[in-house]
Amino acid sequence: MIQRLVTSNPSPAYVARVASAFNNNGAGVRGDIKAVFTAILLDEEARNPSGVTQTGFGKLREPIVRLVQWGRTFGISSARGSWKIGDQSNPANQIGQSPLRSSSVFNFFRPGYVPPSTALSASQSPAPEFQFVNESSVGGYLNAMQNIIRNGIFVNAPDLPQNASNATDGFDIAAAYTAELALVLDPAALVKRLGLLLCAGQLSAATQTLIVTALSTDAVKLNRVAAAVLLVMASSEYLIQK
Amino acid sequence: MHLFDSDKHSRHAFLRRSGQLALTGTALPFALNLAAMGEAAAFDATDYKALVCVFLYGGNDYANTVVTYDDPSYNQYSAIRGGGFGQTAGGIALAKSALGATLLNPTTPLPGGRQYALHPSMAGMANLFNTGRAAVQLNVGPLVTPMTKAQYQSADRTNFPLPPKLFSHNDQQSVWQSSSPEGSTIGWGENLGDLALSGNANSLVTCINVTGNAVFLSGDSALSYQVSTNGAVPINAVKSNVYGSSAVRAALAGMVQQTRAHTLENEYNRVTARAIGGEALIASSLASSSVVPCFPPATPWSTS
Repeated sequence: MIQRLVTSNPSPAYVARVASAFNNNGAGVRGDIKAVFTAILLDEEARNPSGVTQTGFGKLREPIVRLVQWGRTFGISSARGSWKIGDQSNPANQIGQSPLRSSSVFNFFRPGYVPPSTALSASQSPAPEFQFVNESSVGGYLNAMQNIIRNGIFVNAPDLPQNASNATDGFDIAAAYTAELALVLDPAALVKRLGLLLCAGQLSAATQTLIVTALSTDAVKLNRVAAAVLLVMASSEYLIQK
Repeated sequence: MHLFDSDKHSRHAFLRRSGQLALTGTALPFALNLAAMGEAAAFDATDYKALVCVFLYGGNDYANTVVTYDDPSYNQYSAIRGGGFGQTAGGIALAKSALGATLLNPTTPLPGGRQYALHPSMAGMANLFNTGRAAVQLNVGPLVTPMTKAQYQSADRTNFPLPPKLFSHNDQQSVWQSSSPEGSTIGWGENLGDLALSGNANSLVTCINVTGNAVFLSGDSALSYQVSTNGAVPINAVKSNVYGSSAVRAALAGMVQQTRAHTLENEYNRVTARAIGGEALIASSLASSSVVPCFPPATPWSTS
């Protein structure tokens, strides 16, 4: 649970504090999940500002969490109201993860997974979400998001509940970017806003400058917003949640 | 099967001996079976070679893949699986008459008149075996030591040790690939890859994986390079302008390959950098290849 919510490699003391909250919620009740979440999220290790700068702290955001965060942040809507988001499991041309479609009954990520041939394997540090990171999936994610951010999610027959194909096929689910389009003539403010909403204000000054410079050449407004969102969501500072 | 005579450690010797189905009835320790895999890779030969391993993450019905064929063994198989009267099909048993076309003919007949056939759908594989180009490895598995059911049920774990985390299938998949349960970072395939590393002009492609991050190809030196079933995945935003902008393309291409102080960030970017470099290499290699794939068209899934 700590790995899903806060950091891939929690200290044994942090695990012990959460385990004891599971065993006793303070009122003698065992298994109170609300008490467990409280213990996880309010723990000193989770909240200490040093976590932002520690080189091993945090976790990789799951692909589906990135897609949902994009949707919630930028106000997506389904033009025909059917919200038919299909299977996104293909790592080569989609984000590589879909709800309820894990290949194992143990869900998507194994808690003990250590990415081989990395600095993490040298220190035996688990990083469960890296189980999905390979030379195909990193490109599949970027390619899928490049299209989704700019155009939306392509849906076959959004007017029908069942799986079909007809004249209404198209990008039925797309983002409004209302607040972002208002900032389009001020790339610095736009990138600052995205850094706050997507990266909890942790996007470094260097990366912000890099993105702002790249944006200054594009005249098409929606392209500029889409490029800003793509660049933030491609950055490792976004991908690793601290 | 004996693997201790180094003169005979060649691919052909391996296939020849395996072609005798020499492992029948003899459960060898797991490590010795793995030595046979190393032998199959035969690093002393200088021609191009590739070892292709297929790992079935799901369950395979072993007894209907390599089927006992001689009458006493077949009758036993049929009785256990609810076969029909007179060696006909029934329950989950195949009819003996259906197996004649895929009967395996080892160069040296097996002791005791034992015979095996492959599943009727594996005619091509049976043909490869009968022309000396395929082998069957029986009784291979991650047991620490051969054991009977009584030994398994006994409490004496000193004399009858069990593989770690038995019956946890994800751990057993890891044990198969690395001899250690989940969390293992070094697999057998990578160990072979390490040995072959110096023979490859580009070490990146010594170990190639087409489905996910299997520990089999993971380890110290040789990296496991992942390609999709359609080849390496090009990153569009790195290869061409993003929404028409070359500045965005350049910024993105630089950013996703940046060296980072944060360990997780840096490891993610290392994979992306490798993906960009590897894709160029794979795409140009495949474009210049004259090999025509010779796989038969896919046939519908059959449960029999």
